[in-house]
Amino acid sequence: MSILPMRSFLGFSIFQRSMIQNDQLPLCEVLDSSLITETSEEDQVFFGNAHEDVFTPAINLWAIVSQFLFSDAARSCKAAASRVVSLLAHTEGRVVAQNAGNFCRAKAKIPIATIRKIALRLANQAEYRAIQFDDLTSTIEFSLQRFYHCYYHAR
Amino acid sequence: MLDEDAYPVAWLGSLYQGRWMVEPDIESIKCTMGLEHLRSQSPAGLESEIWTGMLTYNLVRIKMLQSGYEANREIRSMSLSALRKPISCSPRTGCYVRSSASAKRWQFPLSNRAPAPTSVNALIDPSHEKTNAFQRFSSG
Repeated sequence: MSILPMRSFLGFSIFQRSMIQNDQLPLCEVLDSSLITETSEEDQVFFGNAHEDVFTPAINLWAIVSQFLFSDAARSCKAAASRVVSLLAHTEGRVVAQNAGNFCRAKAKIPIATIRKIALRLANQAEYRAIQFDDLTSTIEFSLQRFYHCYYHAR
Repeated sequence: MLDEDAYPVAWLGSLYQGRWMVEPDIESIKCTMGLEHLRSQSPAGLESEIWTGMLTYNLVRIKMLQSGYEANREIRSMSLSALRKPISCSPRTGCYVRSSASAKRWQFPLSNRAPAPTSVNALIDPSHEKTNAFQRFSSG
């Protein structure tokens, strides 16, 4: 299974896949890659268009995020670049050089404002949906309670 | 606050609990996510590091939320660090960790997929580099 289209700017679905995401899960729309895509388009984060380019915005952001899923030496840029090499070999069967320098240069092309925007929007969406979800649950529970209460008294 | 009807004990208790939960959350961000010590050496790098850490933290927290709802389990009873491990060993994330012996336990085997080119094995096998270095040292 390929994570393509990585070359297009709609290729942020890699985040969903990394987060072991399933469309059937609750709040699945919060972890939808469209939020990242929209934010990147707003800030015009466009680079890595050429076919031979390794670090597209999606791959780069994924690698940066992956750094924080590990600790110690595995958090280094070198380890992140290794993960990108492994990912491309795994998904595309393409071998690229492990170059931490290129990764760091590509990292600098993603504006801080974009990362901040994604983090905050994600938090807002999750909070909003969580409250909705809780309200829905409590409404159902309340309705059930009322139903049982009426049923009990009717008998 | 002295009016028991206006401010019942249960409300005060929940307020205190909510306040206390802020502390474990900050601890999670600082210790579990490792944002206590930042690595970058420039202001822009530091800011980027903080926000990327927060983005990752939010992603993991949302995953916890989903898991809690799905399993009908109290979300606060779940561990952030415990959930971070399966996410990091997901085939899309932790398929290869070169530098950390402890994290290597979580690496994902490539064997289930289509056979990779031979040269990939040379790239991903840490012993390969050692062998080359050893050979160079021996020949020198």
